Amino acid sequence: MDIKYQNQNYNINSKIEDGTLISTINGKNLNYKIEQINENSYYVWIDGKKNVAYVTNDKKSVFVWIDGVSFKFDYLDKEHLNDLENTNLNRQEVVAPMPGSVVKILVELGQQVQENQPLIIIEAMKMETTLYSQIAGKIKEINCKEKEQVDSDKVLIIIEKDI
Amino acid sequence: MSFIGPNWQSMKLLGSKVQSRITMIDAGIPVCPGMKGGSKDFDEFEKVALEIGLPVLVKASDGGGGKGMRIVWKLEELKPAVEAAMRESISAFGSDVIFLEKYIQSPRHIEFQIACDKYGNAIHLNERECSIQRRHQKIIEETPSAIMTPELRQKMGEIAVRVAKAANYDNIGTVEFLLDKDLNFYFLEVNARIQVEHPVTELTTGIDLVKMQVKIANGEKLQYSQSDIRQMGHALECRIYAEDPENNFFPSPGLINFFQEPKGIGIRYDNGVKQGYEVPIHYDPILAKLITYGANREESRIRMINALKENVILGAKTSTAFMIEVLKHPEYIKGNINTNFLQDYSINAKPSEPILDAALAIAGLKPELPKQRELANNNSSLQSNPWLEIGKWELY
Repeated sequence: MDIKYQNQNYNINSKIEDGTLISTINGKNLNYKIEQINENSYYVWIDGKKNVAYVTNDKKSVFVWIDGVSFKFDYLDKEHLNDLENTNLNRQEVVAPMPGSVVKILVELGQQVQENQPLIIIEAMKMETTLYSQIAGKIKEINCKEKEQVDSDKVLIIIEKDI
Repeated sequence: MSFIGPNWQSMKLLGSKVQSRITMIDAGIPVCPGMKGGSKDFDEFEKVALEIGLPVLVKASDGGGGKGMRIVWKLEELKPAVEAAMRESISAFGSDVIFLEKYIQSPRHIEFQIACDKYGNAIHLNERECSIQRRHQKIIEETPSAIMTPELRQKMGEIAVRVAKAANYDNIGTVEFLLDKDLNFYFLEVNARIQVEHPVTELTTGIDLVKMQVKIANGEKLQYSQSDIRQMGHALECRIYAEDPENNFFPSPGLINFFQEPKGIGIRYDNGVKQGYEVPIHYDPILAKLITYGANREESRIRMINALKENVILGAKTSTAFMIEVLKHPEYIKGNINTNFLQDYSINAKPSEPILDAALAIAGLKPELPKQRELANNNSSLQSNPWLEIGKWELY
């Protein structure tokens, strides 16, 4: 399976055989002594130390907890992988990083923007985030309006470089 | 019908930082050295800056939220800082009135719990130290404070009670102070309500503060005198926030699909969530408060680290690993903390490579679900409704 974490892709193949977790991560082979406790937890030995690892998943992600550290790995399907490989530097889709509401749209349709220009302010859980342009170009689409509630990953603004 | 809380006149007074400051100065309470009111006169600013000593904090008299505030380290920076603060203040608050305060570097945030009845009786219930903060939000609180001595506690406690009386306060509240490196303390403000961190006081005094609030509102006299207030052991609180340490601690909403409550001796868990709960985007991201109690600071610290590791929450990210790193830091263990702790030590909660590898390997055991199927117990998310879950009632 393929997942994305901190802007890196990982290809993972794991199976349990005879009390050992055998895994290949981006080509690297790893083995761990393992015992299943129930559907969502395992004892796993890391560098000789016994830990309890908890794991769950939903439609979009796998969640893991080991020793107080919590991880969220997002599933990548094959189509999405191809998109990332062909990253289009002439076009940027500005997406909502978390579910929230649109506080203020700082640009207009057709406006020319520079790199690193503030575009839109989102608010969630009493915190405001400003999203910035990563390329210079023209605002091609604005897919939201002020005060609208948006979901995580919704494409809010599209910028295209003038060629 | 009675309001369970302080009288409105006191609340109104204490709601204004400038008004509180003036009231306390007049009552002889130590406040941050500085100007009593605002000014527009540059000569006066320079005179005050030299009197109180640099560095100084330029503040907008009608301001808030950090706007119109500038720190000035050298005298030649004073005029440009005042001019900039005036511009910001006019733009944000419509006022160009500025005042100066001494800038206390790396202070400790020490607050005192107070309780006053409607008959003029007032006591304090010892201090809480809340110096571990991010973006002015408290993360870890404890009592007793590692820096506190019985003499300093008595001095500050007496001042806290005088503050309450100067404001004609009743019911329970918190008097906040800043403590500098030389153990000088300065009144900051009063929080006219019960606070998130009140459990650490309850555990070390054995007193139920919420019950006390109700009794005072009910017209009863304070049942304790100052000499009745005990201090036993040490208590520590960590606020469990749904936030992502790998994304600048931004709120991390989501559906909690696995939840395990920490249990055991010396653990108190004030919880707002359960498995299946959808963390909403409309409120502050606090999920729960984890409080530990021990015979001393080391015991409660170790209990907290273990309890944090057992408090498994999956579906929304939490900054548990980060708090564990703070609690394990040598300077934290020594009790050398102040409000700049997180910046000074750039605590790094990036997972180590062996842990990341193991987590990825384990994740490999949960392949992507087929698109049509839904998780068995996940058809509807639960919203926590405290009215349906209220526990015991007591009759008076």
